[in-house]
Amino acid sequence: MKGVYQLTRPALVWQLLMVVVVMIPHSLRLPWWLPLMTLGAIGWRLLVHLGRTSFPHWSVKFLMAITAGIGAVASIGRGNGPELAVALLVAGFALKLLEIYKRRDALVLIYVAYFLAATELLFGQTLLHALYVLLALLLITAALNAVYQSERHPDFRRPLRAALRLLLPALPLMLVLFLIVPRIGPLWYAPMMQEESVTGLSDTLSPGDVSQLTGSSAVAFRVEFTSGRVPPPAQRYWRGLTYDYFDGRRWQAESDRRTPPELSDLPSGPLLRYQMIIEPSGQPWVYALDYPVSASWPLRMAPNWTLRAPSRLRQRAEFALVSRPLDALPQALSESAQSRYLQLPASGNPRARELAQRWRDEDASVDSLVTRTLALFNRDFVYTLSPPRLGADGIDDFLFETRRGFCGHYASALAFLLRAAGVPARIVGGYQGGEWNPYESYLLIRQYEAHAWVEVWYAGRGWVRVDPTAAVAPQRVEQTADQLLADEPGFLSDTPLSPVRFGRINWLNQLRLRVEAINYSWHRWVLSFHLRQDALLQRLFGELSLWKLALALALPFGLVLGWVALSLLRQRRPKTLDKVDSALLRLSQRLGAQGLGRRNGEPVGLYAARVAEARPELEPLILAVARHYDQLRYAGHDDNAVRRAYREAIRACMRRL
Amino acid sequence: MLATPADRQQGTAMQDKIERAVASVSTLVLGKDTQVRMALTCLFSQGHLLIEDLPGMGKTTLAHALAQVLGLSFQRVQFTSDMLPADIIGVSIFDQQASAFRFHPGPVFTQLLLADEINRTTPKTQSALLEAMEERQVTLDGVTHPLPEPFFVIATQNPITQFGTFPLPESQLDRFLMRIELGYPDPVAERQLLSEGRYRRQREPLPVCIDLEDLASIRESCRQVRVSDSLIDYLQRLVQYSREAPEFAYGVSPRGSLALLQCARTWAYMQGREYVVPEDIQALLEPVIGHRLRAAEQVGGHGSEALIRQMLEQVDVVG
Repeated sequence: MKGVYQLTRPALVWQLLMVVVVMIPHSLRLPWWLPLMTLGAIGWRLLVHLGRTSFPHWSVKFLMAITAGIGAVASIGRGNGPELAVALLVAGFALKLLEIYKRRDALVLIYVAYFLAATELLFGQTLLHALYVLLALLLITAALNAVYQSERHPDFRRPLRAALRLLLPALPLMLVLFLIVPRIGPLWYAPMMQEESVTGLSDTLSPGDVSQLTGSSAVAFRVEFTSGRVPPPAQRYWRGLTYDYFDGRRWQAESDRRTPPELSDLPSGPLLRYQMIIEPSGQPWVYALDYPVSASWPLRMAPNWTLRAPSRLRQRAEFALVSRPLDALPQALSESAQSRYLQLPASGNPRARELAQRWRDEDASVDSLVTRTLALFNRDFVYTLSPPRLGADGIDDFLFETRRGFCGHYASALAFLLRAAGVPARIVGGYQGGEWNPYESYLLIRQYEAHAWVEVWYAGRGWVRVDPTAAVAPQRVEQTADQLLADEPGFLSDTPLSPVRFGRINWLNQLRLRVEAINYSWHRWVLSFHLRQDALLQRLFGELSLWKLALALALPFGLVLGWVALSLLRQRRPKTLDKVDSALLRLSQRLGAQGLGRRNGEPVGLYAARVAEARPELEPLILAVARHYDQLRYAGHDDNAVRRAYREAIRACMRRL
Repeated sequence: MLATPADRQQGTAMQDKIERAVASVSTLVLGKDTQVRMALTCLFSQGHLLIEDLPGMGKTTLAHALAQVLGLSFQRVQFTSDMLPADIIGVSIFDQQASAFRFHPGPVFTQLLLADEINRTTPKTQSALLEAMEERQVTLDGVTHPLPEPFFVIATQNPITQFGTFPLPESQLDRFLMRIELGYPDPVAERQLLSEGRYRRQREPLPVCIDLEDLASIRESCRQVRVSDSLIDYLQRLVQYSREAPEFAYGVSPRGSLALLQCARTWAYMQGREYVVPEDIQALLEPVIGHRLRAAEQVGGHGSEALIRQMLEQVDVVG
């Protein structure tokens, strides 16, 4: 068997540690068999190191690679590019452990580890992710250093120290690059979310939909009010889209293609300005307080005073928004619009229609219809996140049988009744509420705060917001959702250990708010830094110019690199060769090209003798060189004549080569 | 410095004598030219010599021959485990006729002492000899008896058979200026040895080639051999390397580096050179430094030989 390169024990330990650390976050996403395979490879590698077994034959490895490739495609599916790519990379990474025959192989493994650690950031960019990747970089660098450690004196801790010494000077440079280098959009785009993994509201609403969202405490968006005033909880209605068309079972969102509303329609009043960082939802809706009047590029106003991003939000985005807080939207309604907001399917829900007709016959005013419905809800309806199933005539079942439900049920029942009674109405989907974080002064809106309410058109007043849920459970609107919902069985069912659950424990709640504040700063100052970069740079450097940027870049780099260079110089004073020695060095290099270079530690006299033996024609010249060298260096005959003779001998030698 | 022509002449005359001495010793110790020269270097540098080798390699013959060509009085002590310090340095015995103690000098009172198998005896006896070597005098019952001038010790030890021996500790080894190994003779020398057989012993004693006056003159001349800054740089680099490289348990002591320089001067003088070159240092590194070094871990066969080789290869002459 050919000689196998054996890593030192510390190098192996560092390498395996590196593999484990790089693999851990990926393991949570990958198909279950890939982490197992990696563990197996680690075990095998250990056995090889201990001499219990040898590396597998190439055919075995080939088979394993093919199997892993097919397995990855089969269990992830080709539609999910980045995850598949990472899975294949991980499979190769694990299998590479089983063919470390040379130092080069160990290095390949380490370089792939750097890449794999970086891919982690494709899947998440929180502060924890960033810190973890930094830790991984440190360990990988330690593993790299361990590979180059002297085999005679292996040491476990030295590589870590060396890695720290390497990475610490890089830290300020990292900061400078982060601050100064302009952000360039990605040259390629990898769809990181599957179509199914859309979160938040969708463009249809059936009464049961919103309950899926209440299972999740994921962040929907964060808002910071720049105009100073923060609206009270009861006014925090974040509208996202309106549902206009009812097919008997579900409500459908308005098509986007109609013209946006006139902005001058709104009455004057105070404005709310705010910045919103919205998490990727896979949907184009952007949520704004009732009612948005302007939004930063590239958002556009969609029908019914909702906002749209130009494409589906697959990355975190930040927008500047302006809203005018109003409860009603004065707007005339054309004939065609009237008929659209009165639309109902031809048949279905007969009891609800009958009830609406009866109410209308008794008192046709909109106010009385709304009041009666809310009074009905208020009487013996129960707010719950786990309502019973509804049959084909869902509205009838809800109104007359089950009487249990949440915002979707109430909104859809109210809108149905109003339309059946001839009052234009529509459902608005969005979020209601938000948690105020006092540490960083921002509002955090989570998925479980998704909400649906109704807008009713009053002749003369326009669209008025009516939240039927408030009639049943006024706390839902006035308190935060988690306070109300905490005892509901469906609440946070996806995240059983969510800290939101323990909101009532005071210190835990404060801790949670602190953590969220840190996360928010991270989002604001690191992930969305490009939005602030220009302004910050201008504040720091005044008017931006190329040379200022270049200087700002070059100065820290110069300082750090200079410091590193100086400390290296201090450690190892370079050999300053004088003329005599450098002439000798040149000659030795020329001869070295013919395999006759002077060896380290070889005295000049012995070297000359060796050259003379190999190249007899050089004998008198090279011996003269050595003689003069000894005269200059050791005999104390350092005068110009000897120097000249020495130089001439060297030159003569060079000429003969 | 040997500058004037007269000096130079005298120098070459002296080198001829040395060459003659080497040649005559080599008639008894065949094919060991280098070792003979090293032994002479050691004696000219006023140091004591340790010969480490197997029995029957010619250690005693070499010591005897050296005593003859230098015209020195010679004593041989075979060390055994039951030996006492008095057996070497002598003893005071009460003289009844004189009614006083009289000092009976031991075998150490000679110009060249061959201490055979020094590691066979107890540390007590060893240290008695080593103290005499260092002080060049013996103190007994409060009376100091100076040793003859010159005083050389050639000690031998068998490094292989360690059974029943008392290996010399590092501090004692340090007292020896040089340690050499003789090694097996080369085939030519061995053939000559075999064909001449036992008759060699009945030869006439070797002529005295270098007398005491010459010895003093050689010592004086060696002191004049030039040591340039470049050479001291090289020596310092060597020493520094031994102190820094992790393979070494400890580095070369200042005494070691001084010994090396002193021997290199003598070695250069014996070659007829008026200045020391790195070749001299390199030639003497093993005999002068080898017994003063120890590898950090005695694993993988890193004996002092490997350490010396490492020093020679890693430390450049130029620079």
